[in-house]
Amino acid sequence: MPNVATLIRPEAAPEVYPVGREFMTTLDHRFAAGDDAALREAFDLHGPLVLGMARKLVGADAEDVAQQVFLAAWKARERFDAERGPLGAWLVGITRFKSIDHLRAKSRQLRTVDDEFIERSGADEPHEESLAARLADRMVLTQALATLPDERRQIVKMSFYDGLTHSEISEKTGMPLGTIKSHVRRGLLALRDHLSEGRTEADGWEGDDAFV
Amino acid sequence: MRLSDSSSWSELSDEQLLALSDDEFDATVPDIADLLSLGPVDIVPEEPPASLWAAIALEVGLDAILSAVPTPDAEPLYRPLGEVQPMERRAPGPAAIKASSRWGGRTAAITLVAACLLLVLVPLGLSRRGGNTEILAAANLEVLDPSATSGHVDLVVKDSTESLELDYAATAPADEYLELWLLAVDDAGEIETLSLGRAEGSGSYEIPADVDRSRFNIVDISIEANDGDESHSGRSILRGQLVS
Repeated sequence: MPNVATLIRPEAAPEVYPVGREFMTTLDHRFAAGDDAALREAFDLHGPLVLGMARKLVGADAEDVAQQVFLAAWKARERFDAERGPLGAWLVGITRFKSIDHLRAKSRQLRTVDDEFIERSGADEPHEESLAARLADRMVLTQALATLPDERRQIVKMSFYDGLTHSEISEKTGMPLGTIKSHVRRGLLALRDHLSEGRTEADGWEGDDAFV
Repeated sequence: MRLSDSSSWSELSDEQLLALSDDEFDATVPDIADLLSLGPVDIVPEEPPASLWAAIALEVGLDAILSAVPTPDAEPLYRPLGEVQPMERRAPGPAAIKASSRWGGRTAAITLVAACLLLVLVPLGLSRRGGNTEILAAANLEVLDPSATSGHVDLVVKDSTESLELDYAATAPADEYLELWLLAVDDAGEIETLSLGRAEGSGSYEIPADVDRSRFNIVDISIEANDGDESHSGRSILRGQLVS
């Protein structure tokens, strides 16, 4: 299990929506336990994030997708493990899954109703879906980054957002090179877990993670 | 060395983690460095409309009831008449009371949906199919899950036998199947479920003659696991109310 204590950072994530802030709160646990009121609270707290993410990915159908996200999360709530990460980050993963799923279903429907559509632009559809999937991945990663411990988050940001080399980060922070490298690697592994969770565990029952 | 899950990598010492070559390590986190290098994508929060919560509460309310309520006689169709019994009345314990209060909102919503359907449906009482097949009611099935894309059902009577003419597009997950249900809700908010057997594609599904069909006015298709549990799974994918 990741070091939970180091993940509790009330002051974290100043620049993104605070999915990590309520980490390990009773809301997360009550949600997993199936408390009805927790669903409403989770909706009030995370609904804007879920809807905003869905809006960017599926546009006008965002409300439909957001509804599916909360229903799927509620049905799969027993599989939500508050020890592994906050509810908000989990919901973001499900939003990713449901949005891509929605886009796939829609393009499948278009192909069914319009054969001509296939001939003209069939090749573009998977491309569109993969673009959306990549955008969704980046959203998930941006949110997941906020749940990393401060020091590790800053080092990962310097490395990938600012494009600094490990040596440059070492000079800037005064930390040994090995420590920098360790933070970067542990950070990436933690982010990978967030992403793969969104890909496989997000869905309540279809168990379909084949769109990657 | 395997880095297949969080439990394995978080236990690695720094020495072990750093001993991996860049190539070895990169293989365990494919794409992530590339995706990160593209920069952050912040999500702009959007306040959900009240209707979104209403829609979620509606589904959760009914599904919670369906999951909780046992259906003793939910055998598939084609059994000798007289065996389909209404659900046993249980003393209204706390769960039942809770279900009832939830159902209040549900009923209001169904009434609203019914009113909307009435506005868009053609006068079905006048429609006829073939010589003596009459459409008594119809329902557009609401898609509740992406494994379904559309659904419509007509309640028809032919030679005094009622059946559902089902037209839908949905697929069951591997190793699971779809089941067709009629649901009845009484004033106390209790739900009775009546299985019409597996939904095996669009077509005609007969309603047992001994069933008081007029009480069962909700058509529902659910995903069911092959687990021997004959009660409704609560995993509805299509649902609609019959409107005459």
